[in-house]
Amino acid sequence: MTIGPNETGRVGPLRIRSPQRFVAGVVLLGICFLVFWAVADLSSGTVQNMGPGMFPRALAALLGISGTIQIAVSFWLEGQSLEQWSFRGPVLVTAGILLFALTVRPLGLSVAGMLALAVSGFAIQDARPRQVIVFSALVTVACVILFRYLLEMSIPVLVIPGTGIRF
Amino acid sequence: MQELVAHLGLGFSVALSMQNIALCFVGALLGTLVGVLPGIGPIATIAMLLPVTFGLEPTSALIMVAGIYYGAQYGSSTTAILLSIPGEASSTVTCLDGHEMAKRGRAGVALGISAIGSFFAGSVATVFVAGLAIPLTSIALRFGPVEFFSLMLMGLVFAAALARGSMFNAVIAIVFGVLLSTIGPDLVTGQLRMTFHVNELADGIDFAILGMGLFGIGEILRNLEHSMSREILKRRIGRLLPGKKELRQSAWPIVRGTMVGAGLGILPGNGAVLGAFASYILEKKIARDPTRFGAGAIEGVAGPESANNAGAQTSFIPLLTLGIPANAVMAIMVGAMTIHGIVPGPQVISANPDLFWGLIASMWIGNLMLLVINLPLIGIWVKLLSVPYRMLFPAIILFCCIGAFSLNGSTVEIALLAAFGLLGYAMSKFGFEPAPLALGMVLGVRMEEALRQSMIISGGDFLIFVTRPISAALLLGAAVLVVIVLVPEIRKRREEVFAEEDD
Repeated sequence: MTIGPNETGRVGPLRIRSPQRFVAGVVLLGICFLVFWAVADLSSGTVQNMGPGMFPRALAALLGISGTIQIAVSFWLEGQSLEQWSFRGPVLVTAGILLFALTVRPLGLSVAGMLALAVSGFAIQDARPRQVIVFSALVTVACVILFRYLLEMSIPVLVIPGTGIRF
Repeated sequence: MQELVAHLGLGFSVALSMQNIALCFVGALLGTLVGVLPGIGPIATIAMLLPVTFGLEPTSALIMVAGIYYGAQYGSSTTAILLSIPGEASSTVTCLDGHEMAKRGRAGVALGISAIGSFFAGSVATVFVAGLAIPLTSIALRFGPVEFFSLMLMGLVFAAALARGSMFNAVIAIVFGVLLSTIGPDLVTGQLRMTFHVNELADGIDFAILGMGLFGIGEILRNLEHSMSREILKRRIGRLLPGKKELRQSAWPIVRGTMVGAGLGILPGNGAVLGAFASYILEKKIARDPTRFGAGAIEGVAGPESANNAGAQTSFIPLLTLGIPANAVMAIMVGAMTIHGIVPGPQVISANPDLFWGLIASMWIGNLMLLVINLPLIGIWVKLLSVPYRMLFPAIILFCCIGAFSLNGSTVEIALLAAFGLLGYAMSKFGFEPAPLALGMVLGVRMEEALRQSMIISGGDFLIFVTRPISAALLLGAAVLVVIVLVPEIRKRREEVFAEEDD
C-alpha cells in the first residue's frame, strides 16, 4: 500500500510522517470512545427533545472525526516529531499536589503545605536541598498565618491523629 | 447623556465608600503581587485570590475582584517590560519594545507610560462601557435561545479564528472544553453524566479549578523545562515619569490604542487579545521611522498597553449585558459572581443597579489605584522579581492548592487541579492552546441549554438558526470571519502578526 509522494517525488511506502499529529489523533479517538462508553446508559432522545446523552455524544463524535482526520493526515503530510517530555517536573509537581490533597484534612495545613512545597521544590533542575527545606518551612508558616488567621479560612492548621489535638 | 451621568453618579456613590476604596486598593495590590510572578497571568491570579473575597458582600467582593484583575494585568506588563516574560498573551507585544527600553536604562519610563496609557484607556473605556450598557441590555432582552446559541457559536468561532497556531487545533480544544462542561447533572432530567461515580463531579467541574490547573500549574510545568535563569535587570529603573518629549510621542498612540482596544474588546471570543497586536502594527505602520520599533520605541509600549487595558475593560460588556463571558478572565468573573449569588445577564442592570454601576465605577477607581499607588511601589515589585524561580514556583503551587481547597473544601478538587495541570502541559506538547478550551468550557452549559430550547421551539429543525434574522446575521458574521482568516493573503499577514510575537 502506498500513499502520497515523498520528498524525492517518488511514491513511498506507508509511514507516519507527522508523529505528533498521529498521537494527537489517537488520543482524540480514545476520548471519543471513552465518552461513548461513559454515556452508554443515557438516552439521546430525539433532535426535537434531546435527552441527556445527545450533546456529549455529538461532541465526542466531533472529536472522533477530528482524530480520524489527524491520523489520516499524519500519513500524508510531513510534520513535527513528538516533543521531548520531561518527567522530573510533572511527576514531582503532581506528587506534591496529591500529597497536599491527601494530608490537608487528616493532618492539617502545616503538614500538607510543608509536604507540597518540599516535594514540588525538587521539580526544578538546580534545586538545593537545604534551601528547599528552609524555604518550605518559612512559606508554610506564612501561609498558616495568612490563610488561617488573617483571612480566617476554615482550614485545619495541625491535626495529630489519635491524640485529639486540633488547631 | 444626562442619564449616563446619573448612572455613573450612582456607581461612584456606591463604589466610593471608604471600605470599597480600601478593598479595591488591597485587590489591586494583591493582584499586582501575584500577577508580577513570572508566568502567572490574570486568570490564575484571580482564581487563586478568589477565596480572599468570600467573606464580603457581593458588591464589595466584585469591586475587589475587579481591583485584583487590573492589578494582575499591570503585574503582567511589569514582568513583560522588566524580564520579557509575558504573563498573558496580550502582554507579549509589550515585551518587544518595553524590554528593549528597559535594557537601555529606560525601564521606569516604560512602566510609567504604560501606567499612564492604561489609566487614560481605562477612563475612556469606563465611559464606553457605561454608555453601551443600556442599549445592549435592551437588545439582549429581545434575545431568545436561538439568538443566544448563535451568539455563543459566533464567540467560539472568533476564539478559534483568533487563536495562535493551528485553527483546527483550536476548534478541537473548544469542542473538548464544551465536552468538559457537560460533566455533571443533565439540565433537564438531572441525571448524572460522565461523573464516573465521583461525588465531587456531581455538580460539574468548577471553572476556577480548571483555570488554576491549565493556566497556573500547566504554565509552571512548561517553565520548569527551560532553565528560568532570567536576566535580572541590573540597570537602574530610572525615573518613572516620562518627559515632555516622551509624552508628546506617546499621546496619539495612547488615543489610537484606546480606540482600537475598546472596539475589539467588545467582540465575543477574546477580541481583547487582538487589541495590543493591532495597535502595535498600526503604530509601526504609520511611524515615520518604523525601524525604531523593536529597538525601544516608546510608541510600541504606549499604544499596545492602552489597547490592552481598554480591551480588558470593554470585554466586560458581553458579560454584563448578555451574560456571556468573552474570554477566560471573564469566565472567572462569572465564577466570582455566582459564588456571591449573582447570575450575570441582562437582568442584573435592573435587578441590581447598585452592583452594576458600582462595578463600572470601580473599574475607573481600580485604574486610578494602579496609577497613584502601584507605580510608586515599583521598587518592591522589582525586588520580588529578583527572587529566583526555584523558590517562587513551589509557593505558587501551594497557593493554588489552598485556593482549590477553599472553594468547596474538597480534596478531590485538589487532585483535579493536578490533572488539569498535566492536561495543560500535555496540550502544549501537541500544539494546543489552553485559552480556547477554557472558553468552550465556560460557554458549554449555556450553549447546550440554548440548543435544546431552540430545538423544542423549532420542532427539531436546525434551519431556525438561519431563518431568524438576528441569529442569521450573527452566524453570517462568524462565517465572514472564517473566510477572512482562511483567505491566503490575509492568512499570510496573520502569520506575520503572530510571528512578531515570537521574536
